[in-house]
Amino acid sequence: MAWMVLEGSERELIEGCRRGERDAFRALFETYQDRIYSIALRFSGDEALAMDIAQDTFLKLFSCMPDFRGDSSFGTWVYRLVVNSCLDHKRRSWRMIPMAGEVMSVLRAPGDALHGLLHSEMRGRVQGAVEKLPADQRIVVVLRYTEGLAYEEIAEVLGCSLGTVASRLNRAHKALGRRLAHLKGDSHV
Amino acid sequence: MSDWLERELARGLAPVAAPEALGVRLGFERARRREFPRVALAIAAAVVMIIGAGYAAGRTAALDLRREARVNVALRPLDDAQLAAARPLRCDGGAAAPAPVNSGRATVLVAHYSIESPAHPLPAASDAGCHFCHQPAI
Repeated sequence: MAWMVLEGSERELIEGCRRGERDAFRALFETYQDRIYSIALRFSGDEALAMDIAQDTFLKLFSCMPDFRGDSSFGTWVYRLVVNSCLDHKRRSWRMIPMAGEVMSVLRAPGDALHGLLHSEMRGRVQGAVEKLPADQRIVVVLRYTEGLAYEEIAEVLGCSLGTVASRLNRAHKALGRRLAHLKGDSHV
Repeated sequence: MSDWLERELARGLAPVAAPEALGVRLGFERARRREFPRVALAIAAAVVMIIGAGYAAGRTAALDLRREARVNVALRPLDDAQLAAARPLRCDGGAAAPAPVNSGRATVLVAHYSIESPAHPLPAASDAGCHFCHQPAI
């Protein structure tokens, strides 16, 4: 039974979860863990908070599986769950050491540490600028650049019109452009 | 929007791999035990054993006395002395009994126990032959 679930289609995977098969849950987790965690991390900018959001999303996913009616694709439904979890979580008002995670990842990584640190610094600035966006613009930016979703897909996930997505992205681009303009010369490292 | 911003956003917001801890939280992965150096563990255990053994050896006499002090030792009755109770007096092996003597009170050492030279071991003193071996101090 397990191999059928693991090698089967998405429908079989969902049916396996509905029957309470542990292998199906595991396969679902392995399929979506990186995507869900990435969205949570890029939206929140905090690893611990991203873990909480991802955990909540998976718990909702497993518990709400019977509610999935197939009106949209399963992937879209999962995106909706993680977006709702992101928006539900209150953003932490402070962080102990905002760049500590990035710095530690650079120090652990082999290769040119200085080069890595500069790239890491740039990523940190971008992440910081994104975090300052309003939540409705931030989630659009994350879905666009972290997940590479098309405008139509973002609109389907958020349940809004294509024009709304385009408008939010446009405002976000303008704000980010202003906040990151001073770094334009520093990015060629 | 500039290509530069598009590129930086794609780079800065790139997807990442979920940490293993997420699987642990959800019960799909087992938490890895932190490997503790076995040599350090063995040394620490040896030190604890040495300290414990030394402490236990030092406490043996006292522990024995306390156990033996609960033995109901029959003392030879005297006309003017009445044994009220026995209790451990010192950690190095003494037992004492408060006794009224000639309308006064005295503490009488009724046994003295020593591992090296058990002069008056309580277990062997079933007839309390050693009672009042020390002069009571009134």
